[in-house]
Amino acid sequence: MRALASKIVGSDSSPLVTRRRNWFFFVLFAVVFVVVASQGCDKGVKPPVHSLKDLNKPRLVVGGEEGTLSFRRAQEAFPLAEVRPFADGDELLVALKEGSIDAVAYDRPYLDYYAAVDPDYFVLPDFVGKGFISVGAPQSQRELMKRVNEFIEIYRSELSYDEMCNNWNGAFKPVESSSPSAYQDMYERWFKAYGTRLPVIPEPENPINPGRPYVIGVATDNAPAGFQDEDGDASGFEIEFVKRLALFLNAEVTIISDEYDNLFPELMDEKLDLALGMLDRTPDRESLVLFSESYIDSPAAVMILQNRYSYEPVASVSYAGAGAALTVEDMTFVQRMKRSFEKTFIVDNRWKLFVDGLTNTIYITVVATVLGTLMAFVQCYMRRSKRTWLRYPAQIYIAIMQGTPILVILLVLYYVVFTRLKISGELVAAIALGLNFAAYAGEQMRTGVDGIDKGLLEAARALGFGRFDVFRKVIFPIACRRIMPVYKGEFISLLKSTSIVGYVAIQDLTKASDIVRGRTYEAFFPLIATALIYLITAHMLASGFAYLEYRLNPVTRRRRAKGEVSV
Amino acid sequence: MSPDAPIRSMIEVKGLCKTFNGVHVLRNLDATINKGEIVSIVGPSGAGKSTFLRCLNLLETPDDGHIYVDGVDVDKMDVRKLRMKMGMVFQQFNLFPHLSALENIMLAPTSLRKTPKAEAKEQALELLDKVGLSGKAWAFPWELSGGQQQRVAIARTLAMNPEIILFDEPTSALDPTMVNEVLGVIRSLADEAGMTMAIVTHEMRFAREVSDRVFYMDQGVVYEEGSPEQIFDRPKRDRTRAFIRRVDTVRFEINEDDFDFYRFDAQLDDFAMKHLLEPERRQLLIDVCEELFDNFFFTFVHQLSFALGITEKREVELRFTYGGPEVNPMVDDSGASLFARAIIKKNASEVDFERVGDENVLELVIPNVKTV
Repeated sequence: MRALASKIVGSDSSPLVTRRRNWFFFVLFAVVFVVVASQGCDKGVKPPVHSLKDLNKPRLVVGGEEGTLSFRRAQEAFPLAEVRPFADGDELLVALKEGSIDAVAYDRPYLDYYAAVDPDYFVLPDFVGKGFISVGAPQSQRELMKRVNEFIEIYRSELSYDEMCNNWNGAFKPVESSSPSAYQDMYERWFKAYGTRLPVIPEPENPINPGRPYVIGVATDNAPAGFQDEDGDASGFEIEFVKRLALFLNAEVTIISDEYDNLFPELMDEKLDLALGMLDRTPDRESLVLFSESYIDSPAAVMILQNRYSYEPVASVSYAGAGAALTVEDMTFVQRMKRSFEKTFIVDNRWKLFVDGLTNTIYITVVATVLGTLMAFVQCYMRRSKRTWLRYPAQIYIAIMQGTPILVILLVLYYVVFTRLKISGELVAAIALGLNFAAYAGEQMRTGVDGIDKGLLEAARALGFGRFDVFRKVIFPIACRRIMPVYKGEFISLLKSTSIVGYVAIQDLTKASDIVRGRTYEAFFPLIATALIYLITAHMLASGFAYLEYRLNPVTRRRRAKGEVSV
Repeated sequence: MSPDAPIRSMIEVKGLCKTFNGVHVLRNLDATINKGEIVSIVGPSGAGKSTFLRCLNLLETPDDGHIYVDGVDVDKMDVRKLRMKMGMVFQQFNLFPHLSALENIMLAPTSLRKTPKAEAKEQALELLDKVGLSGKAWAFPWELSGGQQQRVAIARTLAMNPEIILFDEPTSALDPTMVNEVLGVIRSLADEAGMTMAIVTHEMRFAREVSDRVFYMDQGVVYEEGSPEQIFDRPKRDRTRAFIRRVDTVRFEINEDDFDFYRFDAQLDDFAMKHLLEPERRQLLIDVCEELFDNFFFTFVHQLSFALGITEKREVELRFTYGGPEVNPMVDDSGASLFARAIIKKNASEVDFERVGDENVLELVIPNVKTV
């Protein structure tokens, strides 16, 4: 017995020495926290913008109108920046003035107009993208697409008026006789002078396909390219385009008044022979459907505040990168997976989106956990207090937090409570999730503390410990170890509930996968990949907690003290 | 304690009062414990023994009265300083479950006395050796038996080098097989000179052997005090004598609102069976209780406490304690039924009525039939 005892005395790895290493982990955690927190907070500095390139940086925000072409364009052009959707154009201008966004992506004509009215605005001279607005067709319609391209080639060439008028069944006959070409005639009509009615364009007299019309879907939720006029009839630039195309093809057509979102699925299902809707030709889409040449220049431009601008030209973003040579049906499973993987992660460096998203997710989780834990302490203290004026507010708080969906709390904080304060969306999300976390973690702490035998506290007091020391030396270590398993569960569920922050325009992991999904038109790969990333992250973080549990287990301390284990 | 050392009081208690929910647990208690003295405190449960002890280190706040430790009024002392000076060993051991035996002992010296860890560890190992547990330094409380836990708890108290140790029924929560190992440790402490100890215990033989003085507590006061011989062999006062003679007691708190006579009956029966009481006396007990409860006590009080004891001479003692006005059921106009009085008079060898404070105490002794 004596020998063993003296061995313990002489041992270097006594529990009191090793406890110092806990400080190391604490400091490490603190450093990580500070670094992560500083990432979220350095929004004060606004770097000058020389060119579009300068906007494509993490933590810059480009606003756009939800569902517009320019918005989608901006998402593609600024993969590293946050492209934040707004419900309407006026909000965009307000946000730009207030400085909550760095730039507005919108149609060039509008932006020019705003800049002319208000000298605070400045429109960057470069377009976002070159306008690859194309007609889409299923991959089986190569022959038809050739003819469509012939039509576009002629229509965009600068042929003389006579050549236009007298050939190709009158397909290119301008309505305004003074116009130099059909394209300019149409562009002026639809994009410079709104409210125009559809001109009368005759149908082919002897169609080549009587009774078997081409089915052409046109998005009519997309004025002025396609819309429904006051009589409910399809009208707009693209309707006129299709009617002229029918003349050129000398073919019967049926125009389907469609929604933008349906066009691609219907093309892929071959329900449509052709589709128009200001469709952008992108490499992702090219691997799924056929695209014609561009039939219109629809520049999206970017507007910033005058005082942020310093001129330096850059080349516009190019879409060179070509589509796949093989069609989907020709590929083996492995090839398809490989292609999906490349589309999801490699093309346009999309992995960066995932990395940024994951960084955001972890940042929000960590900040929310730290915040929530601190609040949980306070709440636990208040709930256990004998004073009703401390206990009741805590009870009410818990009732509210446990009875309200976390998403609603997030929206309330983002759109109501913190609207005026210039704090980052990530921080708002972390606060919302932290508040929610506190309500649950605090109650767990309370049960953990309440469950401690009162006799232990008495024993500690009888030894001469004061209130605070009783807490520090007895209550805290015992409760900590008891709470750890449920606390870990709460932490993991917090990590997972960060997936809702996309609702307030934060690019977390889920949102990143949404964006990629929106570009590749593939659901399987991005979603499964995202699920896996969550799974792995959750388990890595959980294993951190498992280690903590292991270290908190007093038996570990004994084994370390006896030199049975080294960690 | 050498006989010619000047006797100095270590603890002096004057007029100590403590009430819990209107029940007077300590009533104007006076007591003195001298430096280096071992005092055992015995008495029936509910006499206020534990409360008295807990008041000494202010785990309970007295309602009234003064406590002087080493001549200083504890009201004027820092509570933590007082407690460092006065260790306590609990009935339920209360070892810290997250710490090993060694760490349990080291915790207070390193945190409160700022003893260097190496030194504290050496001292802790010595103390473990002293209580015979040097091999269990790294054992956690759940790995130790009750007796071992209590010995670690004693070592933990000793680590603060207290001048006084209070033992609150240190063996009551133990299996009978483990009682002696703990008593052995306390006995060896008592043999060392200098330590002042107050021990609340039900182990009469131990109290007799180890104590310099014995307090018999009853109804919130030190009812009788004296040397072990005096208290155990020649008790001067009635209740002390009754207590010392008694070999077993059971106590019932009876409330009219939820009084379940069949359950009470079963418990009486259990007690009677345990002590091999004759069926006649068992039936008599039940009859007396039934008559007194329904026809007497419940007519003017809601609750009363009833203690039942068996003495060495196999006498059955009944003691009823009840509040309200001074009413003795043995007096004719008390309202107690004639039948109740008749069976009590016929069967009881002793009937004592006493008014204590604002409570009535009725004591009956039913003698062993064979000796009558």
